[in-house]
Amino acid sequence: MTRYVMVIDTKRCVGCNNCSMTCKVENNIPEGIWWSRSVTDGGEAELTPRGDSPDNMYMRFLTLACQHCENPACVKVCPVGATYRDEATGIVRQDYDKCIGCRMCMAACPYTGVRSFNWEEPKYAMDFATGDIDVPKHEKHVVEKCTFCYQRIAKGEVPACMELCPARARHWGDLDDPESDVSKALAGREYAQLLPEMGTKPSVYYLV
Amino acid sequence: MEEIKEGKGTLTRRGFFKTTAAVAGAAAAGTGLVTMAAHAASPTKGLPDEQSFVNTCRGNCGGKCVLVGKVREGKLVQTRPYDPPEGFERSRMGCVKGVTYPQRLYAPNRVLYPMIQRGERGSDNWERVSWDEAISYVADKINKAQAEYGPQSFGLWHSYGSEGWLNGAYHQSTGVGYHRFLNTFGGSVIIPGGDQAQVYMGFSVVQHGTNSTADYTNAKTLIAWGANVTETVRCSWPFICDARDKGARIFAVDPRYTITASGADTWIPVRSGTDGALILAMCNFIIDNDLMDKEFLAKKSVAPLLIKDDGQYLRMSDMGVPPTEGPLNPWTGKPTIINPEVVFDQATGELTSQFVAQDPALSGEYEYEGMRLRTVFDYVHDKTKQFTVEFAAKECDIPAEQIEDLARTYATNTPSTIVMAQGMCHHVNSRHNYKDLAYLASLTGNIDRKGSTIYLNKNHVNVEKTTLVTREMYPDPSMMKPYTPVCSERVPEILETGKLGQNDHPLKVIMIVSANPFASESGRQRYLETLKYLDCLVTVDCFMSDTARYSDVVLPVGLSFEQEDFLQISAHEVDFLMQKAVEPAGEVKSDFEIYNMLAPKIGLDGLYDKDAEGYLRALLDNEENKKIGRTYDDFKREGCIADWSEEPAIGTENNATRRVQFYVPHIVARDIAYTELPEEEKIPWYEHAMEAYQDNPLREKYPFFGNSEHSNYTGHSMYNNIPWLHEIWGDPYVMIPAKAAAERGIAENDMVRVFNDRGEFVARARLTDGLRYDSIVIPHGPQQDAYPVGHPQDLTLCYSDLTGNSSYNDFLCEVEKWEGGE
Repeated sequence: MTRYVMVIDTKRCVGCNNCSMTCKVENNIPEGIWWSRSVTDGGEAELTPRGDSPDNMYMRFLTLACQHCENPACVKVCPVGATYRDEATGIVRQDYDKCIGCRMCMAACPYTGVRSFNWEEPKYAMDFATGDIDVPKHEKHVVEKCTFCYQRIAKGEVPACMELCPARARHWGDLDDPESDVSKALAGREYAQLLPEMGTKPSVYYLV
Repeated sequence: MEEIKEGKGTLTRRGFFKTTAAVAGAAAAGTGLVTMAAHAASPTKGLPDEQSFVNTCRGNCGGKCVLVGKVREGKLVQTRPYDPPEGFERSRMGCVKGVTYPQRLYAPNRVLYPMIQRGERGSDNWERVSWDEAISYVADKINKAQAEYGPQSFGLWHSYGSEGWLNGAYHQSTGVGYHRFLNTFGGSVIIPGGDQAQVYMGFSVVQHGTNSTADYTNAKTLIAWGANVTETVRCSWPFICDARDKGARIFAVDPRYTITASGADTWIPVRSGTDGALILAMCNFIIDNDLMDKEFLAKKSVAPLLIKDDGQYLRMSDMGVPPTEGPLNPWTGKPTIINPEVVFDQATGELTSQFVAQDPALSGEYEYEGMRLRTVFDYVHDKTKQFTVEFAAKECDIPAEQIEDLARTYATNTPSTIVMAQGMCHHVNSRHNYKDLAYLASLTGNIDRKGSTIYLNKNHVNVEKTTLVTREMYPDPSMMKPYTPVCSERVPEILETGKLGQNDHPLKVIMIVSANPFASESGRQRYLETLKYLDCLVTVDCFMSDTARYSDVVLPVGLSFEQEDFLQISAHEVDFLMQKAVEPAGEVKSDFEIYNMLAPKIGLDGLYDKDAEGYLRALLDNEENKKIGRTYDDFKREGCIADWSEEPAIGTENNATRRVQFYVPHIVARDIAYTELPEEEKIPWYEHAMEAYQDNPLREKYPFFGNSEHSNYTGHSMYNNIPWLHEIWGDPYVMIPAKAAAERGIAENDMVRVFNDRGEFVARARLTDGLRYDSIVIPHGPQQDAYPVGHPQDLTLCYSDLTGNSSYNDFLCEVEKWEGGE
């Protein structure tokens, strides 16, 4: 079996959003929608730390997108099977043709904001599609989210967000392969997963 | 690859696994000399109707990342950084802005046609005209001004906006179109102020050696000094992380807890504008506690050189040994003169040439034929010992123990590196910092060694074989005329008085290329209020910038992917042809084409004897490049060529003394209005900033030290107005210490007015605990449309120090909740 996962090193990540922007362009994501975003683990506002003296300031960043859970909450609630886990790859997929726009998946997903709903016809600043031509067309009244760049891994490439992390903080690969980049990145390092108590078993690992 | 596609946009499981295996095999290609083919005739993988091209974002950050652009149906649909080969992943380039290049290329605020302002400057009353009309209009203004007021009345003003050997414009560095024009038109050349304290003092006066980025991994102590590299020089971050993984200690010296500080072990929240006090206090602590590397100091720095009472070096010619001639100076065309400085050699007990002495003395008083002689070290130490740890603790507002820890660690946990960008470069006193750092590094041997440098800017070895400075930048000698260099911060005074220093200098027509000074030089209000003395202002730009909108004529120029050019990289290690990927929008021309059109109309016939490709071939097709496969045709075929196998470069001292110079008796001012310089300009020194200093009585009215940000999301004034970036970053904001905001009744996201006697602007408040209580951070980049009132640069000083530096952070201000608007 193949189980694709992402490993993100929060000690190297600088919250620059290169990954988010590459995702946006690669997938021709409409105005106002982001499948991936960097969020600050620090002060109240983005890009600020918490702490009350120069000695105890703290600021880290989490790049947040669909966690492609092994036990996905979204899949269980989808009434039409539009959101499903691809057993051969471990990728949680969203079939726009089947999606009826009920947004049950958004309510069930504990990772707020990683799924979005196109209330209107998707809008773009430019009148042509950017990125990869194999990206399925965005549609009104469907839920969409990170696909792990399915169109790219199908061509033997890695997800777009993996390609230009300037901090080399992102790793991608098959967790079932002990020789993979992700297996090596995880070895000997402490890691965290988002909301483990929800029992979703995410496929995104954050090195801490 | 065909089997993966059943139709556009659909993929099958079958193709999924087949292609994964195929590509995994191909990825195992070797390292060493690795090239990337990305030329016009080469379709991208899998899709014959897509093509890829190599170019750069040309975003004025100094990074010059190689981007691979994908073109589909004539449109640039994607730009992504070129990925280095396996084993060199840490040299990966690119940032969040470069990826958005398509929205920049197709932005609605691009200028597509030549335009003439028919109303008041700034009234946005533009009329589209033909290129013939625009060029004739400009030429007529230049010809009339030069006939009436003399050649100096026409000024050509550049900054750092465009890069490229053909179309760039950087004084004495790059741009064939610009340089042939500049060496011929005989007028005023207005040179930028941004970062010049560092550029001029570091590279032209002190001329210290620099290591390459990859060398950061070799340091045991790294001090990110006024350098938020994770937002500004991000290519260095992986190397710093590697050093950290190996146990290096990282300091961040910054008034703000930056992202870089968040990755450091120790944050030192120094008061901005006091870096020089901190550096000299470290020097004195190192001397007083005998933590010096005396071997390095004596053999590799100017410390033992002997100086006379007039401050000049004692030279062998003073002792009757005539100078000899060395190699030709590429700028003057004349041989260099070798006249060695003299030291006292403790091995022989005699005064002798510094190049032959075995054991130069660091200290002592000497005499030669009645001349009293001192060593540089004694002189500098004597002058600077007043800058103690106690002095710095008060001046910088940090604990003395922290200064001592910093100094001890830097001197003993070696090799140590100063990670510098331009944060310590934005005050009127900044020029001293670069002598101070050279002194600190010399005292401890932390320069020109593996793991030790004070600045990285090392070009790759092979790049230097294709030197950017070539004869093609000069026209036929019979056409050449001298020009007058004018510092940008001096321009308002010249416009007002008609004088540059003591000399008459009427300036009546200015053409701005590759620059947006009314957004990116400090002192914006002074520029705008003195424009009335100017007969004509012409701006050559891609966008209706803050500067273009106040011009009389705007000439539209192309973006990088619209024209062919050539570029070399300093922070990375590659050469590449900037390939034309798409047809230019509207009627835009390249800079080179614009000079070609203008030159014959102002009497500069025959200035350009080759076309664009002809000049690129003249640059690249030399014998050296033929041997190493870097001719024009090689680049045309490969796009980008790099020798990735190279070891990190280590700095060398190439100045006449061949030693690290922290004493600069030869210094001359970049701003030629300064004809005499006091002795403090020649030694490591500290003086408080011009306006932003703790005891300034003005602080009762304006208590905050202002600091300007260089965000990840702007390339100075470029990359504003990109919808994708705006969605992430939002509207510009002012960072205010949370406690100071509370005292003023300011809450998160409130609109606030930031003001001083020079000006004001309004933006949103962002509160933070990661900023000194007496400091705020103002935005830099978004153009005036982004602010309901004013402009951040309206608050800043217009002042030209000897380097003509723009002092963006040398201002005081107050913040209040804004009651207007909403």
